[in-house]
Amino acid sequence: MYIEIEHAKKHFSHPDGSLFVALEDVSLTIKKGEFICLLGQSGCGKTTLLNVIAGFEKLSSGTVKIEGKSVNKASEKNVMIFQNYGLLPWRSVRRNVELGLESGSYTRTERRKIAEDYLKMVNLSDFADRYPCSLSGGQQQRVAIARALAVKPDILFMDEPFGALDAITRGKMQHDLRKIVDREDCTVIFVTHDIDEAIFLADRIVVMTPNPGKIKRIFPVNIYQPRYRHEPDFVELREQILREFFPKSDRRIEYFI
Amino acid sequence: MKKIWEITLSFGILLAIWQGIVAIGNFSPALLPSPWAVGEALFELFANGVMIKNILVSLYRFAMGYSIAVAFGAILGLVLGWYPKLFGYTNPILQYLRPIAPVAWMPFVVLLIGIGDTPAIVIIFLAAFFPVVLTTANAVRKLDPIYLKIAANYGVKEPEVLWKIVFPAVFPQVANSLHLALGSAWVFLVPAEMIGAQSGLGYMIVDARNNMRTDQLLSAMVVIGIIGLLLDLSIARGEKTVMKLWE
Repeated sequence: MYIEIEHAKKHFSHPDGSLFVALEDVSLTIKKGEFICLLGQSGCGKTTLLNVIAGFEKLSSGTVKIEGKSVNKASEKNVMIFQNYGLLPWRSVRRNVELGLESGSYTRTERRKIAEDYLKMVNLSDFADRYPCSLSGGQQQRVAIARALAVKPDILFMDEPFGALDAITRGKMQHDLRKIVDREDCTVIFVTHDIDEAIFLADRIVVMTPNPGKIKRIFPVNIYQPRYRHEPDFVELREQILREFFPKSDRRIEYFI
Repeated sequence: MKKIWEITLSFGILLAIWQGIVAIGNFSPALLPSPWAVGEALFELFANGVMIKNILVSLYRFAMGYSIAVAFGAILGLVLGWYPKLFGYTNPILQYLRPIAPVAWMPFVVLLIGIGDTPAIVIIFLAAFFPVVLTTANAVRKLDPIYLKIAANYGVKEPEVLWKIVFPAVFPQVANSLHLALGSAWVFLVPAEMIGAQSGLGYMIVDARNNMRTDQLLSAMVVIGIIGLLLDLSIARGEKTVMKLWE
C-alpha cells in the first residue's frame, strides 16, 4: 500500500492535566492516486490525522508510512493546502507560486514558465502581478492550489480548503479541483465536514467520530465522474452517510403517504 | 481640505494663547518673547546659516544612531525570537536595561569617548534599539505556525527561512516598532546634544540659554517640533503602505 497508518494514537494533555484523545487506534491504508475524504464533525481528529500524515505532528503511538518509509517530518513531496490559504502577503501571485520552485534547480525563466502554466490551469493568468490582499477568497485558494501543484507533489493534503468560501464559489472550486487532480495524477487527502463535498470529490470517504477520534466507517464512492448532486446514487450515499451521524431512531420526522 | 483647515486653526489657537500670555503676563521680553520675536529670530538664524548647519548636524547624528539601532535591533530580534533558549537568557538583561533612560548613560559615554558626534549617536541608538529588538523578538516568537509549515513544505531551510519567510511575516510589527522608535529617538536627540555636543539643535538650546536668547531658544524648539512632525508623518505613510499589503 502507498500510505499505511497502523494503530495511530494521538493524545494531548490539557493545561489542567486531563488527557484529550484526538486519535484512538486509527488504521487506514491509501492507494496511490486515490482521492480520500476524511469526513466528520469538529473534534473527531480528522485534522490531527491529516497533520500526522503530512509530518507536521508526531503520533503518541502507532506508525504512519508512506511508500514503506516512516513519516517523521514534513516533506517537499507532500504539500498541504490550508483553509486560510497560507499565501505570503508580501509576494505577488506569481512569486507565491514560484516559492516551492526556488529551492530546486530551476533557472529564473523556467520558474516563471512553470508558475505561468499553473496559474493558467487555475484560470488566474491575468492576476500574476497582483498581491494576495487584492484577491477574493476563492482566487486566493486557487493561487494556493497552483503553488502546491507547481512542485509536482506526490500527495496533496487539504485541510477544509473551501470552508471559508461561499456556497457557489465552493461548488465551482470542487468541480475544478477534481478535474485538476485527475489531470495531475496525485494522491489527495481532503478533510471536510461537508457530506456533499465528500461525495462529490472522493474515491473513498472515511467517516470519523469524536471522543475519542476514530474511524467509524469507510464508504467507497462508486459514482462516475463528473458527479451530479441529484443523481440517485449520490442521494443514496448521502442518506447512508447521514445515517452514520444520525441513527434512524433519533429521527423525529416521519413520512406518511 | 478639512484637515488643513483643522491644522491651521489649532496652530492659530496655540499662537493666540501664546500671544495672550505675553500681552497679559507682563513678563520681560527677554524672558518670554512674543511669537513675532521668535519669528524674527528664526528668520535671522536661517538667514545667517546657523540653523541650517545645526539641523544638518542633528539629522546626521539622528540618522546614524537610528539606522544602526534599526539594523542591529531587527537582526538581533530576529535571532533571539527564533532561538527561544537564547531569548530566555537575553530577555532578562534587555528588560533590565530598557527602563534606564538613555541619557543616564551620558556621563559615562562622554568620559569614555569624549564629546562630539558619538555620544549623541549612542544615546539615539539606545533610545531606538530596545523597542525594535523587543518587538521583533516577540513577533517572531508569536509567528503564525502556518508560515513554518509552508517553509517546511516548500523546502525553505534554515537560515534562509529567516529572511525569506520569518522577517517578512513579522514586518508589519517591526514597522510599527520602527515608528515608535523614531519618535523616542528624536525626543532623546535634544538631551543628548544638550550634554554631549557643541553643535546641533539640542546644543542650540543650551547656547541660547547661556546667552539669555530665549527667542533663539524657542526658535530651536519650533524647528525640533516641525522636524519631529515631518519624520513621523513620513514613517506613518510608509507604515500605511506596508499594512495595506499585509492585510
